[in-house]
Amino acid sequence: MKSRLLFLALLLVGGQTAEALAQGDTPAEAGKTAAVLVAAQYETRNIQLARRPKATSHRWYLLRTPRQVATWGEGRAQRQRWQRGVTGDIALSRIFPAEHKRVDYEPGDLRTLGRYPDWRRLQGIIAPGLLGRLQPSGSVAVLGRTAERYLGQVDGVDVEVLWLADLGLPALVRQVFGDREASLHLQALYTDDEAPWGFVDTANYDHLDYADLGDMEADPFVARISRAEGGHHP
Amino acid sequence: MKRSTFTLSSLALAVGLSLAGSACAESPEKWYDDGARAVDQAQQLRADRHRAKNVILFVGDGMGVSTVTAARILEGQLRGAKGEENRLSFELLPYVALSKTYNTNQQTPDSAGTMTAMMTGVKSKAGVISVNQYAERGNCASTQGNELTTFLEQAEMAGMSTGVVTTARLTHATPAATYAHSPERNWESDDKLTDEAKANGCKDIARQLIEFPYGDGLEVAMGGGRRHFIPREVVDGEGKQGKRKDGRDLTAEWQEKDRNSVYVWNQAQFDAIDTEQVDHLLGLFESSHMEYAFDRPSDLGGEPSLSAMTGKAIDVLDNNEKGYFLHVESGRIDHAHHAGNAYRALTDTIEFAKAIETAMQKVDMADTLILVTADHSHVFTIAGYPTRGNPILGKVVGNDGAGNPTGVDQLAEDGMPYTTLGYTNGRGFHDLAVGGDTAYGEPINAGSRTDLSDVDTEGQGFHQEALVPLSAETHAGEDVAIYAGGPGAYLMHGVQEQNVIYHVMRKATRMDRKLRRAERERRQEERRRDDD
Repeated sequence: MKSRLLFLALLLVGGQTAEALAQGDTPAEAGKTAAVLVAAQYETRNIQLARRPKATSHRWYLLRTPRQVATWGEGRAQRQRWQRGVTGDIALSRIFPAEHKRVDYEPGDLRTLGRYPDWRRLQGIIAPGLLGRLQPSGSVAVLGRTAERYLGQVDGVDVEVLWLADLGLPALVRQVFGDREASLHLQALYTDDEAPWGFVDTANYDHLDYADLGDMEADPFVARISRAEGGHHP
Repeated sequence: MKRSTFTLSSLALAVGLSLAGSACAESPEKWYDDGARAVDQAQQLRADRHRAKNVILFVGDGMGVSTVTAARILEGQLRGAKGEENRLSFELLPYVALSKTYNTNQQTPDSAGTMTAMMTGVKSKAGVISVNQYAERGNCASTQGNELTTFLEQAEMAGMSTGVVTTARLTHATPAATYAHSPERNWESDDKLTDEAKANGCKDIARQLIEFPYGDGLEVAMGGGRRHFIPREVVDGEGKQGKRKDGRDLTAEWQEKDRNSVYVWNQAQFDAIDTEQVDHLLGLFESSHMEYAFDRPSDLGGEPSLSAMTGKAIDVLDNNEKGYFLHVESGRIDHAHHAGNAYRALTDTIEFAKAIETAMQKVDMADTLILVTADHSHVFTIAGYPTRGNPILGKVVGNDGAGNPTGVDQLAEDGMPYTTLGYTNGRGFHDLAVGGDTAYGEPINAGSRTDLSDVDTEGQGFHQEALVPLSAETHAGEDVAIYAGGPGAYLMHGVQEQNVIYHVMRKATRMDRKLRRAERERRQEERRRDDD
């Protein structure tokens, strides 16, 4: 459930706006940071504003270097690590620390699945070009840093972004869809040596290829992660 | 030197091309005449009982009959024809049989058991590589005494040249079954060997390729899977780490075998190979599987197509007067189906057909047996009543009551359009060609319908709808086809167990006789050495 919430939040931030902004993006927001490593803690919140207000939230973490982006949700059994190779191709690893397993998605697998990502979006979380569709509206202090404020409407949705330009990351993204509000809040931020967590060393993990999972239906781990992905209509 | 005995196939090729190119010229007379001509051709067929000097076994992994049909239509449509009348290169081969693919322990099989059947003449279990059904999967000790001899091993013993070409990893189940023996298909490098396997002397699959004990070893081995041949401490030319824990660099060992042994890993090196000077060629073009045919142009490292590898392999192998055995696998048709992406499954099948066409043009069909088959099928369907020439990847546009195209999407009972191609199970519809998502893990979207009215179902990013929600689409249990041409091809007929393929190859090459002769020569050589 939590992962679906995370997915929903990122979809709201990235998916819907990205579709609208796919043409003519001129992103200025993909990180211009001096820091090599950035560690951030975020919380996604989803609030139903109807007669019986209901709020759900989920905390998750981001770890970023120029060539790697890892994300994982609090209490979740798996992490995701996106890597950009020397040739510029992007690959994904889903990491399962408890089982010491790693499932790798080669660039071709991601293309086949229609999941080949935009590296700028992986690095900066929000859809490339989003800021260009909003109006600058001053700046505020967030966690001791200066964040630029952007406001506006994208496809009828009210959007507010607090943007840490030096790190290329949002401190806040808020979207209001009629009776529902989805938001992303930066809760903690560290750079380089300050980072309290690091990338998982998977050298001794059992590595599986996504392309091979279709032939591994009898493997208990594959069966379990397949079940965990669910079989529900989104 | 080529002889002109490819008459039937050449004729069929001409007919096929003319059909593909002139669909507008269809008429009742043409249908009748073409049908009659096909029977005339059949009457001229004579069993070619000559010895096959060479054998090429093409395996489209997961290339069931519905995949062949859809690829045939797509290839025709890409040429501007209606498509249904088109024929893929291998559909011009004169003999066809059906292959029963089940494993000894599974109704719907996997590639390891099925390729074991084709290469050893003995059906076996799912997941095991060229050991018989008495072996227990994953148990090394249980394989002792249950290893099977493969056709490739016999070809080497008989002094023939041998080669394996694939777009999957060279250590993947299908190619592995030609040269390796293992109770577990996943033991591709030593990092996956269990303590029991090591204690009982089982070797990983990559090592078995390099330490191949028969004849003078494989002459050609090309595909993906570089990571299984290099140590984990080594980063390859494309920035990927190896997997071997034993510290061995098997690519270096390959090159040390012989001064004419060559290892290549990218397109430029592949292009530079002098096939007349190379005796042993190892090509590992990706860390894992090679790219899909559609994605190959975007591979930044550069890698050859399946047809280019096939041509190069033949050029190396045909240097041996005693003949050769070559196995060519299109390994990723299967993967694209598992992912529910018919576009790549079909474009890989079309590339597979091109590879077969390359072979048909290079070899002399008077002395070369060509077999084309699949290891198993997939739950991939061609459905609805689309009008003639309807885009095979498109939504169903049917005919009206008078039999003419309606020109509008046909609607199902739920009021929504539907595609001609679909899957019985799998992940279901997805079309995320725009953007992508930071959070992979799109919920499975099968078992329910999606309104496809505004979706481009013909794009490379489209994923067909599926009925039963599973994390990956599955293999299917129905028979697959075997297409055959050349000496001994007439032995392919009717409905056969899959392991019959091995016996046809043996009979066509007179392998018994070859092995007896090789054994005689070996003894004579030993005596000569003793005398000296």
